[in-house]
Amino acid sequence: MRSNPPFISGLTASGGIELHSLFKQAPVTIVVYRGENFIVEVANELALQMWGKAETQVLGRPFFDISPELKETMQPILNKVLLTGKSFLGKEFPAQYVRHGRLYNGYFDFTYQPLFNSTGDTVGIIAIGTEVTEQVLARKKIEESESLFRSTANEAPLFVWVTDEKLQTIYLNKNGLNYFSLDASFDVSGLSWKKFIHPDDIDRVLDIMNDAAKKQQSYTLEMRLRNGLTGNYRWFLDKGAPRYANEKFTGFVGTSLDIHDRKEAEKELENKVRERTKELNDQNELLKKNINLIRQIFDSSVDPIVVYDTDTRIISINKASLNIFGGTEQGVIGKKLLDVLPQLKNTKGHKDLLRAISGETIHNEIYNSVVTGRYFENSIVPLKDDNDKIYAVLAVAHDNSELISSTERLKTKNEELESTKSFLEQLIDSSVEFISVFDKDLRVITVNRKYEQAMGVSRREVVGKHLFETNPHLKDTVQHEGILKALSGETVYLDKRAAIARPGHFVDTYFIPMLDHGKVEGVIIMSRDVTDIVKSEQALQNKNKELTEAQHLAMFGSWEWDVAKKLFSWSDALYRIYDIPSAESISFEKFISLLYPADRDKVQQAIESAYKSGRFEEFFHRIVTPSGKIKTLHARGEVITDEQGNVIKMIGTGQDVTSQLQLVEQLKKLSESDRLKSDFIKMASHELKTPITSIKGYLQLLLTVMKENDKNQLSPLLLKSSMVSIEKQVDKLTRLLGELLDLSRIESGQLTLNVEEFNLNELVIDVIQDVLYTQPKQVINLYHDHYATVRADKDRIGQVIINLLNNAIKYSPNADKIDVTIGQPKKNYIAVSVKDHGIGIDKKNQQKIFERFYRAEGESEQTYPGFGIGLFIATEIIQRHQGSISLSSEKGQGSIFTFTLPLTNTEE
Amino acid sequence: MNKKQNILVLDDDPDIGTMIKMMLEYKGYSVTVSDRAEKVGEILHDNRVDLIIMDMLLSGTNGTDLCVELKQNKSTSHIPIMMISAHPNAREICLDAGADEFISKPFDMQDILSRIGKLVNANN
Repeated sequence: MRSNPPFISGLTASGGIELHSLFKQAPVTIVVYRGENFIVEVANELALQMWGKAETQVLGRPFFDISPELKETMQPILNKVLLTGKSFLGKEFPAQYVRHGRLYNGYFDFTYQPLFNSTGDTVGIIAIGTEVTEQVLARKKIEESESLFRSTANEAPLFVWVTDEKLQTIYLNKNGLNYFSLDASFDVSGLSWKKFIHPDDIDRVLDIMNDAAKKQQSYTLEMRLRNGLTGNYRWFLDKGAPRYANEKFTGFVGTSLDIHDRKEAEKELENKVRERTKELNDQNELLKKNINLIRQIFDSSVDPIVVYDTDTRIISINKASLNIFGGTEQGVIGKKLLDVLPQLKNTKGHKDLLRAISGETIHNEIYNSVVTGRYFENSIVPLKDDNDKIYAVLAVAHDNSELISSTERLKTKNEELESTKSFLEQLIDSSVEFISVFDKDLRVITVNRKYEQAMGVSRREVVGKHLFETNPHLKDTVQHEGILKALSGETVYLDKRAAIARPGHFVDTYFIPMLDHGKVEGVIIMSRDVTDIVKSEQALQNKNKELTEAQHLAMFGSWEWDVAKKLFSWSDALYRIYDIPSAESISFEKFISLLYPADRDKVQQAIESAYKSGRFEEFFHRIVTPSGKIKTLHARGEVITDEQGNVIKMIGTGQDVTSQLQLVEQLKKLSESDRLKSDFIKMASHELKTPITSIKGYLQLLLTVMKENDKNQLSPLLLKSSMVSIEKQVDKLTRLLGELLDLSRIESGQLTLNVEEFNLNELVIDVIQDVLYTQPKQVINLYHDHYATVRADKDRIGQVIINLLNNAIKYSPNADKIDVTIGQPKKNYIAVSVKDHGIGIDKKNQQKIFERFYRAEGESEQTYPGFGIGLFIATEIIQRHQGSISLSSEKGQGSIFTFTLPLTNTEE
Repeated sequence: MNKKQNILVLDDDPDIGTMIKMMLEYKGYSVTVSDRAEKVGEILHDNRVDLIIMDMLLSGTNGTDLCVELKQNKSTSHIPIMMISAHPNAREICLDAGADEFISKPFDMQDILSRIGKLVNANN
């Protein structure tokens, strides 16, 4: 639309030069387009430059004529601006322009602003463009490089990563993501590195990275990262370089390269190298050893060994050789042979050497050494290198001189052997044994002198003959068996056989197989005359028999206990004493079982203590024979020890002393009875003396009175009382004598009882009356609890009752009463008890008083006072009547003596 | 004239006791007879005794024990003791027990009287 004059020109008209300059030289492109055809009304310098046209070429022309190539893109935009009146802002439009004669591709930011007339209609556009080519290019470059970077990064086999300054990952490339099995879309900024690093490496990695971050330096490290898929750790080489933005550290960018395989390979290589090194070392050692060995062999060889080069120079020489060559190693090494040993010129040895150098192998050529005068076997071997060229020869010489002289020695040895052989023959000949040697066909090879003498033959006669020709008596004998066994390889020994050929003689014979390389080639028969031994053995046997007989007669048995074999050997006599059959031996247990049970312990102890102490203390022990007979044996013995004092056996005797013991018993009894007799006599005389003393006393008194009172009459009172007393004593004496007599009778078993039937109660009454007659003051109470007739010796029973009563009276000091009771304690018995209230009897004496008057042992010969023999006799009498007598008493409480008699019938 | 000498006779056989008493009284001694050893202490306490004649055997006691006891007791040790016994070996036993005199049964009247006289006079 054609409108008013351009407002630019309006501007120019009123603006002034400055404005015009500004416009022209503005650093931006300014173009004013008028109308719908966008006629260029104004264009500044820069715009013209951009177009590459002169002002005249553009002014008044439509924009799209100038730049038709922009029509497609720009026209709609410009139209829109015109239409809408709204500005358009275009950023980074690509534009081609010419500058300095060259075509550029540039970028511009455009503004298209609508121009308004006074009425507000859009009449044109002012286009202002700013070149942003550099920025865009720069940015594009960055973008390119970034995208290149990314694609490179993605293509790279490494991980590529970027961190921020806090070392947080902000980028990880595709490979990285893949490795960790992370999705391509994964937001790595949230990723924690540490998760993937091997726990052993974390600390180290963080240290290094932190350090590098602090110093803002690059770093390199190796670490293990866990594969997201397999979960296995792999080695990575991590390199990081610091990033900056505006000189500020913004983190690291780096790569992580999978070096796992490499590392493994390295390790493998290391191992291989180590192994190989070890191998080489071992081989080296072996080689060294071998070299040493070879060196040693070389040096220790007694054979001279020399290595020469092709010039006959000595390369190597061993000790043995040096000894021959003379001198030191240094002196000969490198020298030619003939220089060292000129005397070898033209000798066989020298010639052989030369032959070897020329390629010939020399073996076993014997030559006499000029140097030593000895004989040598020579071996010279040419040594060839890899190209089969001879570079040296090895010469070994073996001193052969021995061989020569050994033949001589063999001759000597044979001679010695011959002499040994004859020596042995002489030995055999001088043997005390009869020796005959047979071949395997039993033909005589040889016999010794003893044999000749004994058999009365000469060697010549028997050699070659068959055994049974010379000894026909041997056929089918045990000796024959022995020979056959020997022929089969077994050595046979026959001892103490009667020599068939020489009656009266005994021999020990060996049949020995002769072996040659394990095969039986013959038999040696060796016999020794043992007649003397056999005869003495027989004599010994006979003697033993005699001894056994003697033992038996003496009832003396002998025994032997073998400690090692734990066996008891007994003589026949001992078996007879025990009344058991003879046996080879007897076990200890069996022996113990034969002993009287109560003596078993004692015997075992005695044997044990003998064993321990080495001394056998004799002792007596009882045995029980199978028939139950008890015998007493006297055992004596001896312990036999070896040099070290160990007990090897015990020997001894056992003597049956049963009959002796019986004799002893009898003797004892006799002496006992003798003793009793003498006791009796002692006691009797003591008892009798008392009444006699009284009698004598009175009589003497009377006589004295009568003598002294010659004038006066003897006081009748005195006389009477004396007489009465004397009579009493005589009665006492009589009684005593009677008791003593009874005692004697009892002792000699002659106490006879005159048995009659009588009433016991009546007897008791009578007796009490008699007693009271002599002891009128005594109170005796009689209780008849039972009436009985008895069959007994009346006088004797009366005696018993008197005795009891007298005792009761005697031991009741205060003339206490005495109670006599006749009762029936049990069926068929009658009992008479006498009770006193006297001093009583101590428990310990209660048994004693029934015994004989005198005590046997322990106390001195003091009689136990009081009871005398009366009680003893009473006991005897009652017991003879099949009754019993007993005592019940307590000291101070009196006593009750009771005797019982068997009843015939009773009366009430 | 001396006071009458008092003799104690101990014998478990009363007959012997009586007989000796008669004998001694005839001779003018004063005699106490006992057949119980236990009574001795009492008698000695109550009476002056110039001689004790004692049988070696007394019922219930050993005469020798009593003799020893009497000799050891200061109040009675001065009293001479004569012991009598029918026992053949009694002499040694009794003298060992401390008896001043021993005579065996049966004894001669003159013999015993003279011995008694010596003992009694010695005491005086």
